[in-house]
Amino acid sequence: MNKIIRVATGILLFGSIWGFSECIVGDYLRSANLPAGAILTGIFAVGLMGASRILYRQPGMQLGMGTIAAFMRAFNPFGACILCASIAIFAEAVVFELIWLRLSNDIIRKPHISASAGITTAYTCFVVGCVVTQVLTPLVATSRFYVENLLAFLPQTLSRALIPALLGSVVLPVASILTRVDISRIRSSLYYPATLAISALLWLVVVLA
Amino acid sequence: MKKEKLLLLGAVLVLLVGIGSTIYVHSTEAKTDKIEVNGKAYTIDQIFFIAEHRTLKLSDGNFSGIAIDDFIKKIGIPNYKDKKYTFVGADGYQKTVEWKDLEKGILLKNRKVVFSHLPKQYWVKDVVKIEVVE
Repeated sequence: MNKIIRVATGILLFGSIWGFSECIVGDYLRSANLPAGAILTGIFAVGLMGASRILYRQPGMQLGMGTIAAFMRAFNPFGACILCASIAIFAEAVVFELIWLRLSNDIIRKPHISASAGITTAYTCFVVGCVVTQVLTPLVATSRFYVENLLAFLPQTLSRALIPALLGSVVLPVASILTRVDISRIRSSLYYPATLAISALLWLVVVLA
Repeated sequence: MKKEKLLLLGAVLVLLVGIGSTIYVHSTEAKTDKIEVNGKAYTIDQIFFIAEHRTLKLSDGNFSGIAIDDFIKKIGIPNYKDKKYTFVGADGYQKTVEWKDLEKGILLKNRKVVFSHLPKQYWVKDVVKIEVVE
């Protein structure tokens, strides 16, 4: 029971950090004319999902994080297309879960393997996130979808995904340091107030921003 | 061991796909300052001379350009209300919209198309072609 509650609060915390980065950091990146989507996927999405998976070792957790982050993105109506961003965040979480279905912390400890996992995860998350939004957003917004538009967009997506892939090759080996951390050893009296307070603060900033 | 090999192979594969796609995108990028509409090329100045101007007041600022629907009417596209319009960017990115969408759309001086009612993924940058589709 204690583990379930720990994981649930972990989902809330990591999902809130992810959502916060999508809303606040993403807007700064966009206003600085930087490739926001690629950086958010390569650093924040893959970094946070990888770190949480390594820390909690709980499959399915990242799907919950994606739901929280997508929900938070919907609360922050500034910057890029809200609908596209929310759909992309959730799609990235689904892809991460599928890729990491059979990955364990033992494998991730090796730097060249964690770098490879980072490249594959970030690249696939970015591509699938883009494709899913290119299909779903027109359907939701206009009820129309043209497959030729998607096919013309594919080479660009596959090309742009190189940036998150390279970022993922650095971020995941860094996150793999967390394999030495045992989250269950953190005292409940510190863990729960800290995770809940940080999550509440992040939500407050995003809603008021 | 098998998982490790698969991960390495997957990483090499996606990097090769990414590099190949980057080369393809750069080699096929259109380098023109004109916009081809239904087979005829126009400069942005010509388009701004032909069509009436329109300003869109959106939550993230005001955008001023020409009314695309007015431009399409004036260049004499037959049965223009029944057609679809595909905006193609220099990098190959494209989006298809209907006539009712054009009525809420503008083309900016920097060749970016903006629609007040559609998500931003419809805002094609560096438009080089507007295809009229049956």
